[in-house]
Amino acid sequence: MKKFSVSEIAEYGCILAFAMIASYIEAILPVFWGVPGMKLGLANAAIVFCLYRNGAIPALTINISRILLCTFLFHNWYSLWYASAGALFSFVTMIFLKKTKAFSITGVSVAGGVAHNLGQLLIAFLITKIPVLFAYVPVLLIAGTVTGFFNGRIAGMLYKRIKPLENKEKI
Amino acid sequence: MKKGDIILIIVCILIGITGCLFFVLSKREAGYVSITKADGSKEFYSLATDGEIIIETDNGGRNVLVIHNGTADITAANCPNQDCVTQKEISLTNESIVCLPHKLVISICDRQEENDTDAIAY
Repeated sequence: MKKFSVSEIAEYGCILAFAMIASYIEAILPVFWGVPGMKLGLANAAIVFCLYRNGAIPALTINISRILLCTFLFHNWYSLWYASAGALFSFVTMIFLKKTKAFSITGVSVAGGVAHNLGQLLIAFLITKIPVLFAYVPVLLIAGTVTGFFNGRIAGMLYKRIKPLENKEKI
Repeated sequence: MKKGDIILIIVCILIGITGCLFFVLSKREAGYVSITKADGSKEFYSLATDGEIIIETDNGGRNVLVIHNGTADITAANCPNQDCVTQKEISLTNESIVCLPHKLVISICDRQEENDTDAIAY
């Protein structure tokens, strides 16, 4: 089993805490743009940041922990499907795009935002079998691009400014 | 930002705007509101008659649909997130109100289809 240094553990804790706070704020803010369930996805900034700073496995672990914790704390059980489908879609897309090296952190985040929205829509369709839902695709594309862009900029700024860990002693 | 980012953003926004324009421009007035449930059953009500319809779904859902002045709106529901209640009232085709927890769609359509005529109550 991989060992973590104390500073890494503390850092993952901070990122998870930020992601959860972001999810909480979004859960209590009645932001409504005409499409049910649409939100900023600020937590994704933390996931993108972690993906670039710590790599895929820590980012995935933090993402899964965040979804499970937030679902049971702030949401209701049925939203677990939507949240995890969106997050998984978004995560796979982001890892793939990051590997191609054709995109910067902003582009990866935009693709993640769009994939998150489309993944949720797909799950909504699979659960409800309502074809009308696909009318939301254009709106979700734009929303995913805009939110993904800002989240990507935030993640990029943090990534540039926060220094890498120095003390990496394993415990 | 790299070139790839800009191309990606422009492509997403363009597809989005084109799609939105398509839906907005093809909106028009229609006389009926349809209620589609998860099992595919449909009910139609005329928009010309004001009234309040209580929709009950198999999974215990209860939504109140109000038809008033040619618009349809969900004013109350016993779902946890209340997304369907916050959605705006609808009056044109391509507009819909979706309640995901109850697997319910309210949309505007042209005329009553032949099936399910029994379900219509005046």
